[in-house]
Amino acid sequence: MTTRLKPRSQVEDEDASALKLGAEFNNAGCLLISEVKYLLENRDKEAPDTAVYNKTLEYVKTFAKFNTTDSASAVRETLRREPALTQFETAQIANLCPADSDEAKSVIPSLVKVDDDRLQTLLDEIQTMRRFQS
Amino acid sequence: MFFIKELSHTILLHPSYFGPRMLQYLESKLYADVEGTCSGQFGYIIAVVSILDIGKGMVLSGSGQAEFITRYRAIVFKPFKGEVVDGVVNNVNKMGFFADVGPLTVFVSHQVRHSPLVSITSFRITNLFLGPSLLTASSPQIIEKNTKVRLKIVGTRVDATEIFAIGTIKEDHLGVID
Repeated sequence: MTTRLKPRSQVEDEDASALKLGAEFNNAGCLLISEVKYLLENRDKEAPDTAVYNKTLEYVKTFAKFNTTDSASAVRETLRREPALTQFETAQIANLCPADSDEAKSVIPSLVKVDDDRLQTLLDEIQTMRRFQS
Repeated sequence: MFFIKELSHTILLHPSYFGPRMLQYLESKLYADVEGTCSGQFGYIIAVVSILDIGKGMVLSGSGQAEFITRYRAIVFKPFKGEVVDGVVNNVNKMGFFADVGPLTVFVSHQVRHSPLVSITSFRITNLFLGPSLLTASSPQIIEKNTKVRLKIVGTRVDATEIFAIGTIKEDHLGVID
Protein backbone atom coordinates (compact mmCIF):
# COMPACT_ATOMS: atom_id res chain seq x y z
CA MET A 1 0.00 0.00 0.00
CA THR A 2 1.35 3.37 -0.88
CA THR A 3 0.98 6.09 1.63
CA ARG A 4 -0.45 9.20 0.15
CA LEU A 5 1.23 12.46 0.88
CA LYS A 6 -0.86 14.58 3.17
CA PRO A 7 -1.93 17.78 1.44
CA ARG A 8 0.28 20.51 2.74
CA SER A 9 -1.60 22.71 5.15
CA GLN A 10 -2.40 25.62 2.97
CA VAL A 11 -1.35 29.05 4.13
CA GLU A 12 -4.46 31.15 4.44
CA ASP A 13 -4.58 33.88 1.85
CA GLU A 14 -4.70 37.28 3.51
CA ASP A 15 -7.38 39.61 2.26
CA ALA A 16 -8.65 42.47 4.40
CA SER A 17 -11.72 43.02 2.21
CA ALA A 18 -12.93 39.55 3.20
CA LEU A 19 -11.67 39.96 6.80
CA LYS A 20 -9.00 37.29 6.37
CA LEU A 21 -6.02 38.52 8.32
CA GLY A 22 -4.10 35.28 8.71
CA ALA A 23 -3.82 33.01 11.74
CA GLU A 24 -1.81 35.47 13.83
CA PHE A 25 -4.09 38.45 13.45
CA ASN A 26 -7.64 37.12 13.10
CA ASN A 27 -8.25 37.54 16.81
CA ALA A 28 -5.71 40.22 17.63
CA GLY A 29 -6.81 43.51 19.16
CA CYS A 30 -6.87 46.36 16.65
CA LEU A 31 -5.81 49.85 17.68
CA LEU A 32 -7.18 53.13 16.38
CA ILE A 33 -4.59 55.58 15.09
CA SER A 34 -5.68 57.92 17.89
CA GLU A 35 -4.95 55.24 20.48
CA VAL A 36 -1.52 54.54 19.01
CA LYS A 37 -0.80 58.25 19.24
CA TYR A 38 -1.80 58.29 22.90
CA LEU A 39 0.29 55.20 23.70
CA LEU A 40 3.38 56.53 21.95
CA GLU A 41 3.14 59.98 23.48
CA ASN A 42 2.58 58.71 27.01
CA ARG A 43 5.34 56.17 27.31
CA ASP A 44 7.05 56.18 30.66
CA LYS A 45 10.44 55.41 29.20
CA GLU A 46 12.29 57.47 26.64
CA ALA A 47 11.45 57.03 22.98
CA PRO A 48 13.69 54.73 20.98
CA ASP A 49 15.46 56.45 18.14
CA THR A 50 14.55 54.07 15.32
CA ALA A 51 13.33 55.01 11.86
CA VAL A 52 10.25 52.82 12.32
CA TYR A 53 9.32 54.59 15.57
CA ASN A 54 9.85 58.11 14.27
CA LYS A 55 7.96 57.55 11.02
CA THR A 56 5.06 56.00 12.92
CA LEU A 57 4.92 58.88 15.39
CA GLU A 58 4.80 61.38 12.55
CA TYR A 59 2.14 59.33 10.78
CA VAL A 60 -0.16 59.01 13.79
CA LYS A 61 0.18 62.73 14.53
CA THR A 62 -0.90 63.50 10.97
CA PHE A 63 -3.83 61.11 10.77
CA ALA A 64 -5.21 60.83 14.32
CA LYS A 65 -8.87 61.79 14.01
CA PHE A 66 -9.61 62.08 17.73
CA ASN A 67 -7.15 63.94 19.91
CA THR A 68 -8.37 62.96 23.35
CA THR A 69 -8.69 59.51 24.88
CA ASP A 70 -12.25 60.40 25.86
CA SER A 71 -13.39 60.95 22.30
CA ALA A 72 -11.56 57.85 21.08
CA SER A 73 -13.23 55.66 23.68
CA ALA A 74 -16.59 57.30 22.98
CA VAL A 75 -16.22 56.25 19.35
CA ARG A 76 -15.42 52.70 20.40
CA GLU A 77 -18.47 52.73 22.66
CA THR A 78 -20.69 53.90 19.80
CA LEU A 79 -19.41 51.25 17.42
CA ARG A 80 -19.82 48.53 20.04
CA ARG A 81 -23.59 49.01 19.77
CA GLU A 82 -23.47 47.33 16.36
CA PRO A 83 -22.64 43.71 17.29
CA ALA A 84 -21.91 42.62 13.72
CA LEU A 85 -18.78 44.74 13.53
CA THR A 86 -15.41 43.02 14.02
CA GLN A 87 -12.40 44.66 15.65
CA PHE A 88 -10.88 45.31 12.27
CA GLU A 89 -13.99 47.02 10.90
CA THR A 90 -14.39 49.12 14.04
CA ALA A 91 -10.83 50.39 13.73
CA GLN A 92 -11.16 51.03 10.00
CA ILE A 93 -14.35 53.07 10.46
CA ALA A 94 -12.75 55.15 13.21
CA ASN A 95 -9.51 55.63 11.26
CA LEU A 96 -11.04 56.57 7.93
CA CYS A 97 -14.18 58.33 9.21
CA PRO A 98 -16.28 57.80 6.05
CA ALA A 99 -19.06 60.36 5.66
CA ASP A 100 -21.86 58.13 4.37
CA SER A 101 -22.69 54.45 4.23
CA ASP A 102 -21.92 54.33 0.52
CA GLU A 103 -18.35 55.51 1.09
CA ALA A 104 -17.97 53.23 4.10
CA LYS A 105 -18.97 50.15 2.11
CA SER A 106 -16.65 51.09 -0.70
CA VAL A 107 -13.54 51.53 1.49
CA ILE A 108 -14.41 48.66 3.85
CA PRO A 109 -16.09 46.06 1.58
CA SER A 110 -16.89 43.63 4.41
CA LEU A 111 -19.48 46.12 5.73
CA VAL A 112 -22.06 44.88 3.19
CA LYS A 113 -23.57 42.80 5.99
CA VAL A 114 -24.63 45.94 7.89
CA ASP A 115 -27.91 47.65 7.08
CA ASP A 116 -27.48 51.02 5.31
CA ASP A 117 -29.63 53.05 7.68
CA ARG A 118 -28.05 51.69 10.83
CA LEU A 119 -24.58 52.25 9.44
CA GLN A 120 -25.50 55.78 8.46
CA THR A 121 -26.70 56.56 11.99
CA LEU A 122 -23.39 55.33 13.42
CA LEU A 123 -21.37 57.34 10.90
CA ASP A 124 -23.36 60.49 11.61
CA GLU A 125 -22.74 60.10 15.32
CA ILE A 126 -19.02 59.70 14.75
CA GLN A 127 -18.91 62.77 12.52
CA THR A 128 -20.64 64.77 15.25
CA MET A 129 -18.16 63.54 17.86
CA ARG A 130 -15.29 64.52 15.62
CA ARG A 131 -16.68 67.99 15.13
CA PHE A 132 -17.35 68.67 18.78
CA GLN A 133 -14.30 67.19 20.46
CA SER A 134 -12.54 69.66 22.66
CA MET B 1 -3.65 48.34 10.63
CA PHE B 2 -2.15 48.80 14.07
CA PHE B 3 -2.56 45.94 16.52
CA ILE B 4 -1.70 45.28 20.13
CA LYS B 5 -0.20 41.85 20.36
CA GLU B 6 1.46 39.50 22.80
CA LEU B 7 4.81 38.33 21.53
CA SER B 8 7.79 36.51 22.92
CA HIS B 9 11.49 36.99 22.49
CA THR B 10 14.42 34.85 23.54
CA ILE B 11 17.40 36.55 25.14
CA LEU B 12 20.72 34.83 25.72
CA LEU B 13 22.57 36.35 28.63
CA HIS B 14 26.29 36.05 29.21
CA PRO B 15 27.27 34.99 32.75
CA SER B 16 29.09 38.28 33.35
CA TYR B 17 25.68 39.97 33.61
CA PHE B 18 24.36 37.66 36.34
CA GLY B 19 23.96 39.90 39.35
CA PRO B 20 21.84 42.58 40.97
CA ARG B 21 21.24 44.65 37.85
CA MET B 22 20.36 41.70 35.67
CA LEU B 23 16.64 42.46 35.36
CA GLN B 24 17.23 46.02 34.26
CA TYR B 25 19.72 44.81 31.75
CA LEU B 26 17.25 42.24 30.40
CA GLU B 27 14.56 44.88 30.01
CA SER B 28 16.73 47.31 28.12
CA LYS B 29 18.05 44.47 26.01
CA LEU B 30 14.49 43.48 25.08
CA TYR B 31 13.61 47.04 24.07
CA ALA B 32 16.77 47.37 22.03
CA ASP B 33 16.34 43.99 20.35
CA VAL B 34 12.73 44.16 19.21
CA GLU B 35 11.64 47.79 18.82
CA GLY B 36 11.85 48.94 15.23
CA THR B 37 12.27 45.48 13.77
CA CYS B 38 10.11 43.96 11.09
CA SER B 39 9.18 40.37 10.41
CA GLY B 40 6.95 38.92 7.77
CA GLN B 41 4.82 37.15 10.33
CA PHE B 42 4.05 40.03 12.68
CA GLY B 43 4.82 43.11 10.62
CA TYR B 44 6.63 46.08 12.14
CA ILE B 45 7.13 46.04 15.92
CA ILE B 46 6.83 49.71 16.75
CA ALA B 47 7.01 49.89 20.52
CA VAL B 48 6.86 47.59 23.54
CA VAL B 49 3.95 48.60 25.76
CA SER B 50 4.54 46.31 28.71
CA ILE B 51 6.57 43.30 29.72
CA LEU B 52 4.33 40.47 30.87
CA ASP B 53 6.95 38.01 32.02
CA ILE B 54 10.69 38.32 31.85
CA GLY B 55 11.07 34.54 32.01
CA LYS B 56 13.01 32.13 34.14
CA GLY B 57 16.62 32.00 33.13
CA MET B 58 17.78 28.56 32.09
CA VAL B 59 21.51 28.08 32.06
CA LEU B 60 22.45 26.27 28.89
CA SER B 61 24.78 23.39 29.39
CA GLY B 62 28.02 23.83 27.53
CA SER B 63 28.11 27.58 27.09
CA GLY B 64 27.10 28.84 30.51
CA GLN B 65 24.78 31.41 29.01
CA ALA B 66 21.29 31.81 30.41
CA GLU B 67 18.28 31.70 28.15
CA PHE B 68 15.32 33.92 29.03
CA ILE B 69 12.07 33.59 27.12
CA THR B 70 10.35 36.92 27.69
CA ARG B 71 6.73 37.62 26.91
CA TYR B 72 5.74 41.19 26.19
CA ARG B 73 2.93 43.22 24.69
CA ALA B 74 3.71 45.48 21.77
CA ILE B 75 2.17 47.80 19.20
CA VAL B 76 2.64 46.22 15.79
CA PHE B 77 1.79 47.49 12.34
CA LYS B 78 0.90 45.07 9.58
CA PRO B 79 -0.51 45.97 6.16
CA PHE B 80 -3.06 43.68 4.53
CA LYS B 81 -4.09 43.25 0.94
CA GLY B 82 -7.43 44.97 0.34
CA GLU B 83 -7.01 47.38 3.24
CA VAL B 84 -7.67 51.10 2.68
CA VAL B 85 -5.19 53.42 4.39
CA ASP B 86 -4.22 57.08 4.41
CA GLY B 87 -0.67 58.07 3.55
CA VAL B 88 1.62 60.99 2.79
CA VAL B 89 3.34 61.18 -0.60
CA ASN B 90 7.10 61.30 -0.21
CA ASN B 91 8.37 60.84 -3.74
CA VAL B 92 6.93 61.26 -7.22
CA ASN B 93 8.43 59.97 -10.45
CA LYS B 94 7.43 59.07 -13.97
CA MET B 95 6.19 55.64 -12.96
CA GLY B 96 3.90 56.74 -10.15
CA PHE B 97 4.48 57.79 -6.57
CA PHE B 98 5.59 56.47 -3.18
CA ALA B 99 3.49 57.13 -0.11
CA ASP B 100 4.48 56.69 3.53
CA VAL B 101 1.99 54.82 5.67
CA GLY B 102 3.67 54.81 9.04
CA PRO B 103 6.82 52.70 8.75
CA LEU B 104 5.67 51.25 5.44
CA THR B 105 6.27 52.68 1.98
CA VAL B 106 3.58 51.96 -0.60
CA PHE B 107 4.19 52.35 -4.31
CA VAL B 108 1.28 53.47 -6.46
CA SER B 109 1.81 53.08 -10.17
CA HIS B 110 -0.19 54.95 -12.74
CA GLN B 111 0.56 52.39 -15.43
CA VAL B 112 -2.09 49.92 -14.35
CA ARG B 113 -5.44 51.09 -15.51
CA HIS B 114 -8.33 48.97 -14.25
CA SER B 115 -10.76 51.83 -14.59
CA PRO B 116 -10.24 55.07 -16.50
CA LEU B 117 -12.02 56.90 -13.72
CA VAL B 118 -9.00 58.56 -12.20
CA SER B 119 -6.14 57.85 -14.52
CA ILE B 120 -3.15 60.06 -14.08
CA THR B 121 -2.76 62.08 -17.23
CA SER B 122 0.39 64.07 -17.00
CA PHE B 123 3.70 64.20 -15.30
CA ARG B 124 5.10 67.65 -14.90
CA ILE B 125 7.27 69.83 -12.79
CA THR B 126 5.14 72.48 -11.18
CA ASN B 127 6.95 73.31 -8.04
CA LEU B 128 10.68 73.73 -7.76
CA PHE B 129 10.67 73.03 -4.04
CA LEU B 130 8.40 70.05 -4.01
CA GLY B 131 9.68 68.50 -7.23
CA PRO B 132 7.58 66.75 -9.84
CA SER B 133 3.86 66.20 -9.51
CA LEU B 134 1.21 64.09 -11.13
CA LEU B 135 -2.12 65.31 -12.40
CA THR B 136 -5.19 63.10 -12.30
CA ALA B 137 -7.85 63.25 -15.02
CA SER B 138 -11.22 63.73 -13.40
CA SER B 139 -11.57 66.61 -10.95
CA PRO B 140 -7.97 67.78 -11.29
CA GLN B 141 -6.04 66.53 -8.31
CA ILE B 142 -2.39 67.33 -8.06
CA ILE B 143 -0.18 64.76 -6.42
CA GLU B 144 3.16 66.03 -5.21
CA LYS B 145 5.42 65.59 -2.21
CA ASN B 146 3.50 65.86 1.10
CA THR B 147 0.07 65.42 -0.50
CA LYS B 148 -2.19 63.26 1.65
CA VAL B 149 -3.75 60.39 -0.24
CA ARG B 150 -6.19 57.63 0.59
CA LEU B 151 -5.14 54.42 -1.11
CA LYS B 152 -5.95 50.75 -1.20
CA ILE B 153 -3.23 48.17 -0.73
CA VAL B 154 -3.44 45.68 -3.59
CA GLY B 155 -0.46 43.54 -2.75
CA THR B 156 2.32 43.04 -0.25
CA ARG B 157 5.63 41.31 -0.57
CA VAL B 158 7.21 40.14 2.62
CA ASP B 159 10.93 39.84 3.10
CA ALA B 160 12.68 38.59 6.20
CA THR B 161 13.33 42.13 7.36
CA GLU B 162 11.06 44.36 5.31
CA ILE B 163 7.58 44.63 3.83
CA PHE B 164 6.91 46.16 0.43
CA ALA B 165 3.44 47.12 -0.69
CA ILE B 166 1.82 48.37 -3.85
CA GLY B 167 -1.39 50.31 -3.87
CA THR B 168 -3.96 51.93 -6.10
CA ILE B 169 -5.98 55.13 -6.00
CA LYS B 170 -8.15 54.22 -8.96
CA GLU B 171 -11.35 53.38 -7.17
CA ASP B 172 -14.28 55.27 -5.76
CA HIS B 173 -13.52 57.33 -2.65
CA LEU B 174 -9.76 56.95 -3.05
CA GLY B 175 -7.32 59.65 -4.06
CA VAL B 176 -6.21 62.99 -2.68
CA ILE B 177 -7.68 63.95 0.69
CA ASP B 178 -7.40 67.27 2.48
